[in-house]
Amino acid sequence: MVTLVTSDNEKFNAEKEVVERSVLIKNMLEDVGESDQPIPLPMFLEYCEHHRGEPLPAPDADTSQDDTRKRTTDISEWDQKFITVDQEMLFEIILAANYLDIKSLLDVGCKTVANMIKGKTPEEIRKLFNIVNDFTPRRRCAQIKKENEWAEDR
Amino acid sequence: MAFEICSQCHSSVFKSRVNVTNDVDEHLRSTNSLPENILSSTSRLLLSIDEDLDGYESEIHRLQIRIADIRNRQERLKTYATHLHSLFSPIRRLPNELLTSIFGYVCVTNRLDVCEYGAALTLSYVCLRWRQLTIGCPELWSKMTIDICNVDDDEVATGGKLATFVNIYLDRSKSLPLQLTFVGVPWHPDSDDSDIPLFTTIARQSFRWKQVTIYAVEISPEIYTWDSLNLPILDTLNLHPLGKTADCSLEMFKETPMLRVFHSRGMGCQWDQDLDFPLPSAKTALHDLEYDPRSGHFYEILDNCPNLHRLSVASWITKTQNTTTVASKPPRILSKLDTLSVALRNQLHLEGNSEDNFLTSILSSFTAPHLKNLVLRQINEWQEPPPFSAIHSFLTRSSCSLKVLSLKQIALSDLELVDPPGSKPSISKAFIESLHSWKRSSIQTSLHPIAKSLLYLSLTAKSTEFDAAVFIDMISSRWIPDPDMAKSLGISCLRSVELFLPQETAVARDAYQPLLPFEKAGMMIVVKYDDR
Repeated sequence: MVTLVTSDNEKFNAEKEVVERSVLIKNMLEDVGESDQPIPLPMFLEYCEHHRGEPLPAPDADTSQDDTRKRTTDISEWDQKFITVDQEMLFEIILAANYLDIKSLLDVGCKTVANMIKGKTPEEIRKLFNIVNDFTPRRRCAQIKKENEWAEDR
Repeated sequence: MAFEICSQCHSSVFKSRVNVTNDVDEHLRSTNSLPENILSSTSRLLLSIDEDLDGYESEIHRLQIRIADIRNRQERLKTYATHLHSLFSPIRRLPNELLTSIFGYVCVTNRLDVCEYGAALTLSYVCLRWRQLTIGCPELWSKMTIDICNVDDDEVATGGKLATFVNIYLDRSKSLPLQLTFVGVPWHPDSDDSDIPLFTTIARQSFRWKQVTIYAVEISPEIYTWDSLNLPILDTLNLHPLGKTADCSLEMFKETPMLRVFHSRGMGCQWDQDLDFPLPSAKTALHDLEYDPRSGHFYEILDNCPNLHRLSVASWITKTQNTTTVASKPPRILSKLDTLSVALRNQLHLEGNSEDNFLTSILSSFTAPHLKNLVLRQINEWQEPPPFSAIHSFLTRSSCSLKVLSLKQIALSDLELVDPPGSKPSISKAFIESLHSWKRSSIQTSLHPIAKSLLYLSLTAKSTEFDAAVFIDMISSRWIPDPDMAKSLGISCLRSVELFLPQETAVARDAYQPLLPFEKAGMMIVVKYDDR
């Protein structure tokens, strides 16, 4: 068993096999060895517990060419349910998954955001994520309009 | 004009010189005509009033300008506040590499037609940061689906809408390999010698084509004005008919030295008949082939592909269109094949004698000593089981170490589920997508496990008579968490089970409650009811 401490000092006990879905924790455990020293990290025990036993991606897996070829934005039903959270939490999960190096969770988060973006116009995307259209009028005219007068209308 | 200082805002404001009094009422009521001096003073007063009215008008204008200015300031402040709020937008927290990763999923393909300009261009219009990120990532621009159905010649001409979109993508993808999908065939102008600018431009970049998929009613160099393609890195070619079948000339793909994947689904392929193989330069590279044996030259193609690892066969062309016999005698040895996928269709299966049976013919035609995956897929619903003896003979003859047997939409009895056709002790995964209980056996407890190394089981039951008790019994018999015991029995512990059931059986969902303890103990169990 491993003891994990969240940033607000809450302690969780979890099986090593579960938490080792995070490559970061796996590496930390290897570095720390058999120690009672708690690891202070926010956790996604529920996610890791659910995906316990699934093969981890190979550390030297080629993520460039073949990976992009197989890219789809399909998300399993359980993962979809898990990631149905507000935007604030969604991006927290993505950042934490990135930090903890939980590739499968990071993929789920990125795919979820991608699915939110797909099929939307630039203005709809801005509204969805509270993004400001910061193109200066001059730039808008000179560049975007020049490259695509039809698209600019949308 | 007279001005005074406002006591509240201390700015000068217009002040009327004329005092409005009630004297005029008295004069109006008078029955006598007014004396000259009053008329004279009234005339002067009216002149002053006109001046004051002008003064008020000017003051109103001045205030309106001031209000407009105040409104502008308010708007600017609102915009500023919006920008400040935007700084707290959660998506801004993502570093560029994560944002780019998300963009990668958004731009899996960029659909370009007369109405759509693709995901990458959309992203580039959101804000300056996104624009810089997308333009700085050529990969996002390198995948295009160009839909030319219902596109007229203006749009594919130089400067036309679709041509402009495609040029932007070609330009921004820099020198990266391209992944292209073409849907439809171009409309041809009346004059025979005219090129189609859009396709000429794309053809000029053919040295970058890496993956090409074409959906068309006919594929030929003339249609696309592609008479001199240069395809040094093309590694995947998918040809699909728009409609049931189509003809394709493979002449333009003759020089494809890197071609590894060739999928031709329902295409009647034609090539220079002086050649025994349509893709002569790809002979050694080709390792993944999907082909309709009934479209001809099937075995000649196989004989020319010594490094084939994956073969998918299905008969998309009906026998009335082409009567080529698919069986090969003696069986050909596919020495490197590790995956064989056979799609079955009803009409072919019902053709009668075993000579014409598609699955039997295909399986009796090969020996695949290194086969690891065998996929049998029923294309349309059908209640009769396929000839499992052919599968058994094929596996026995091949002496292969089959790892995955995938039976999709195939009808199985309980007995066949427990001891599946051609079961091999090496199988570690089984995906059986159709379990029909129409031929029930009395087996309640599995003494002959499906496969000793089975770890994952995915099962789709189509019958409303699916027996939960038998299923649970089978699952419980495979739960052997103690590694020593599993080792002594020679059976792996089942780790994951997915069961998909017809919606009609949802009323009896409590029947699966006995699986809960297994889930709590660590087995991944999903029981779902199909709500389609």
